[in-house]
Amino acid sequence: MSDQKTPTKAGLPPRPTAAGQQGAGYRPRQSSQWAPGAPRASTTGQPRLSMSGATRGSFRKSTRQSSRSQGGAETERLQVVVDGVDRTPKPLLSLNPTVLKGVQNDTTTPNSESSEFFMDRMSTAAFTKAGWYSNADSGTHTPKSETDYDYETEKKDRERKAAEDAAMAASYGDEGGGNESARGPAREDEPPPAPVLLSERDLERSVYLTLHETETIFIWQAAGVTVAMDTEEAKAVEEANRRYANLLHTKQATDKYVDAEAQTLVALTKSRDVQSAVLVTRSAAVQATAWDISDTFRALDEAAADAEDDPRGGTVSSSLPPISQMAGGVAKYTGGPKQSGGDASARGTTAGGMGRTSMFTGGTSFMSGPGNQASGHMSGLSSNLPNGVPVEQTAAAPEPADPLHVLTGLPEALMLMDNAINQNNYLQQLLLYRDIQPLPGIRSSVANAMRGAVSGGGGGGGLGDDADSDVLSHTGGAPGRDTRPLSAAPSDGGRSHHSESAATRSGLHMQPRLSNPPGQLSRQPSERSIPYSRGMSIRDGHGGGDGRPARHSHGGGGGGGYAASVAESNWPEELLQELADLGDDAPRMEHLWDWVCPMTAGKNVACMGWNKINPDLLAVGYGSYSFPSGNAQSGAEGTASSEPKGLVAFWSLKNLQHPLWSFEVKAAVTALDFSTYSPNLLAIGLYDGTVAIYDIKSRQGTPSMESDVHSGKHSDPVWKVKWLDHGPERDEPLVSISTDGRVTQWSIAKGLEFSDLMKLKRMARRGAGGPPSTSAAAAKENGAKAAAAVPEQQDAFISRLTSGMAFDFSSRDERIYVAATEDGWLHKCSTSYSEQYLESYRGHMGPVYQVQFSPFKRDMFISASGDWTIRMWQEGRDMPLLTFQASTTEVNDVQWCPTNSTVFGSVTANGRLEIWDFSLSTVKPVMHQKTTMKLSCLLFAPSYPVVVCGGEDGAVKAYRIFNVSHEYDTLQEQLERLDECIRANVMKSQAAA
Amino acid sequence: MVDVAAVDETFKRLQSHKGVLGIIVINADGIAIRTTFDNDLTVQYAALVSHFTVKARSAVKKLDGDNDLKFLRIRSKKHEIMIAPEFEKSHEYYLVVVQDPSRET
Repeated sequence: MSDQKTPTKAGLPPRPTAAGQQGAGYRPRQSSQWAPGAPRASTTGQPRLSMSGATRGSFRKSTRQSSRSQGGAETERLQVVVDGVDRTPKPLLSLNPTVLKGVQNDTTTPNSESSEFFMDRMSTAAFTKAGWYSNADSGTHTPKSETDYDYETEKKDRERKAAEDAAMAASYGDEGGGNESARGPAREDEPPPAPVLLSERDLERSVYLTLHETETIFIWQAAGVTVAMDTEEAKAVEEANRRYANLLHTKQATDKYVDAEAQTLVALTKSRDVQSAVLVTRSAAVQATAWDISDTFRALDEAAADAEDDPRGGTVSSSLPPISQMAGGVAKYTGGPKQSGGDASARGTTAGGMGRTSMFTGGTSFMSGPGNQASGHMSGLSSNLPNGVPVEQTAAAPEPADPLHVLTGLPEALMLMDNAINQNNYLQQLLLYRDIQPLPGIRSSVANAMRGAVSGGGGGGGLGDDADSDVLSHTGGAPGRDTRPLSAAPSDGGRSHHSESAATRSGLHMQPRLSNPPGQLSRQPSERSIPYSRGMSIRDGHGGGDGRPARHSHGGGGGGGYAASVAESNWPEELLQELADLGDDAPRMEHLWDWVCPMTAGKNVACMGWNKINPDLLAVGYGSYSFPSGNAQSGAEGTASSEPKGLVAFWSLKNLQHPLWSFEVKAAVTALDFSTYSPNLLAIGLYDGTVAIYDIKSRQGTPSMESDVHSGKHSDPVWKVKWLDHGPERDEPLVSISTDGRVTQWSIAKGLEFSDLMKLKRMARRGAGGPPSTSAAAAKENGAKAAAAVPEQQDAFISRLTSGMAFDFSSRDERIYVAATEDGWLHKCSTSYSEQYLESYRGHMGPVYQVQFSPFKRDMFISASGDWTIRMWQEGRDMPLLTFQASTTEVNDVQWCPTNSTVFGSVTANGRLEIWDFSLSTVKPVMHQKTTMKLSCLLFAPSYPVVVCGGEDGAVKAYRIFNVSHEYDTLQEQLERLDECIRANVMKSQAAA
Repeated sequence: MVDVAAVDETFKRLQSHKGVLGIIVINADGIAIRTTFDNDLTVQYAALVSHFTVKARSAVKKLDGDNDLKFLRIRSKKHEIMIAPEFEKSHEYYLVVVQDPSRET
């Protein structure tokens, strides 16, 4: 069937003309015949041949029925007659009716080329149809469906073919017979063409078959896996191959690739429902016109102008509003140069770009163009612009609170900064305190000195907790070195000047100094040397090597500087002569600073105590009370009811204007002491009799332990508390003494437990009888008898107990202590005996406020009394060795100097701080400082030549004392000096007596 | 968290010290949240000091990774700038005090 269809397609190509052309070798004649028609055919037929050159066309040569019809009978022509009816299929083509007609009627006409050709075609169709019918043998003739395509395609060629065949007809006519015969065999390939009867001539005709090459049909295609070696691609392929080979090679040697099986578990999944809040989104849009922008910036300008008009005071609160505009200020800087003059320029919180926009809007001509554009740009930013000013103001209100709240470390940092500033401001004083040679020209040019001293002073800025002393002492040499290049005055020149003067002036004064140990020279030349204001940094500059010559020059310079310093200090006239004899060794005192702050101002400084571990920490107890004078009992009772609260403050060298910490207590603090082995424990005694122990590490204002009425609380003010140092292995008991007459020992091992060491019994008055004048030996022999006998000789007392005011334990025997009483007696007691005194010392006419054993001669002690005197005692002698009286006012406190065995200090109720050196004078203190207030207590710094005292104005004053310390003398030397002084003075006083 | 009143009191005390020219608290963003300087000077200090401090801290930390910068003093011809930084993320800030040590009272 396909065969029957295909001819229609290839119907045209298999024309004899085409065959003849191709197979020219076989049919030269035909080709020659074709020559005339060649021009025509070449234009139309040949291209078609080449294009549609298909093998199938070869059999369609049978369509060359035209030649047969030319030569054959008409009956044999294509005419289908069924039952006598001509059933020849009519062409469905739109042929020219005239032509058709010609076909029907004039088929026999040999000259009718068109009809002939047509019938030729028709005959072909008839063949096929006939075959069909013959096979089917019946049925309706439905040529249309079968030949639809055939005719359609043929129709297109119709006219052209007609023209071609017109030319062909001639040749056919000549050779018609041959053509007819040739058709025969071709037809036999086709389905049996029953109705067609082939004549003999037809069978004898030559049949020409032309074979053409078919198009290449790709059924399956695969690219080759090999590449030629000389192509570009080959290199890449080779490289890849090499890599792969390399990989295979390394794969065996490494652990990187392991052939292993692994079994994986199915991951367990669990589905869970989660409920979440609906996300609420909100979009807002604001549109700003150019006018809006202009107005806003104008308002910002005015606000800024107002703010600048506001006075900015120094206080923090008044400066807060400017801070809130800080962001604006930053933006202003980033935006470029400030447009101070332009009225439309951007100020405040806007960036530079927007500022330009506002300037555009200021100019009317530019409004439409850039203004519109600007509004588009600003739509995102403009949410706060239309009300920009109010927003800024409201945001400023909560701001000050929030950021500071978050900064948890800020208070500590501020404290640190406070300390640092203090260190800067008090650098010179601190250097003095630390006994570090200050810099030249300190007073004249603070700036110079500060500049030079920054490394030393800055280092001592108090950053380390307990590193102050270390830092300062380490950097002691630094200021001198640093200042050399910096200070304007050449220190070398200055020193040489002093050296010259030293040679001429110092003379004798230098001689004793040379016998001092070299260590003193190199380490502490400042001691006993010149006043610091005249001092040079020689020691620092030289180091230890040539300390001796430097020392010499110092001495000389100091000799010259002494008078000036004395004059500066306005010392009393009566001392001048005395001190002038001492030359540059004259002891003198210089005020360093006051430890005072608004919190403590006006409160009486009642007691002080150094921390035993950190000697830079001074605990000060405050409590406003009137010191009992004369009649202590009434005074105490009179003020007890209206007693204001007390305060304990902890001062340090790090900050001289603010205590490290402070806490209030319920009553005036009258005594305090730091524990030695638990340096964080502070024992305080209160005016109401309470003894309390505070743990200052916890920084809680409540006592860790406190005595109450059930646990041995004193009924009267506690005048002294002291931790007893019995060595690290043993307990550290606390002992207190009170006006109620009890000397009580407290143990903190289990709570605050007390045991009375002594109840101070009243002794006979001085004028009542002579028993106390018995010698110490006698008292020891019949102590019990004497103690029993004494009361019998006295009048009956209202109170059998006397008031204790102070005590001190002997360092020679830890059980021995001396208690000072209000009635003027001193009693030597032992913790082993709670009933009787070991010795009693008579001499004071008034209450004894303080007693202290000498740190060098351990059986010697000193006492201060309200009878205006200070007396020195020795165990075994009931009479004072020496008596000191410098003024006509009560002496409130006395303390031995820790570094010189012959020096002690005292404070008086009329505000004199006195330093005595009885190796120089027993009549007058070697130096004193007059203050306007009543002084109540005094302390020497444990390791520096500094004395601190406190009085009723609440200030703790620190004084540097010069030329007093003998801290580098051995104990033996100290004792020898002491003994010698005492011997001389005692002999002198006895001689006087 | 922080007693602002106490902090303010300390501020005043610092300000009352001899030679103290100004105090600034700069937060992590380089914005001054407290200052006693005027606006321009504060902005300048805030910008410069925070950069400088970060540099100084990196120097300290590079020398010893466990170390950290705690305090910084800049001694200049005229002033001393003291910086107490805090680098904790939750409350990072720089406390700056400018002092003229040579100034009397």
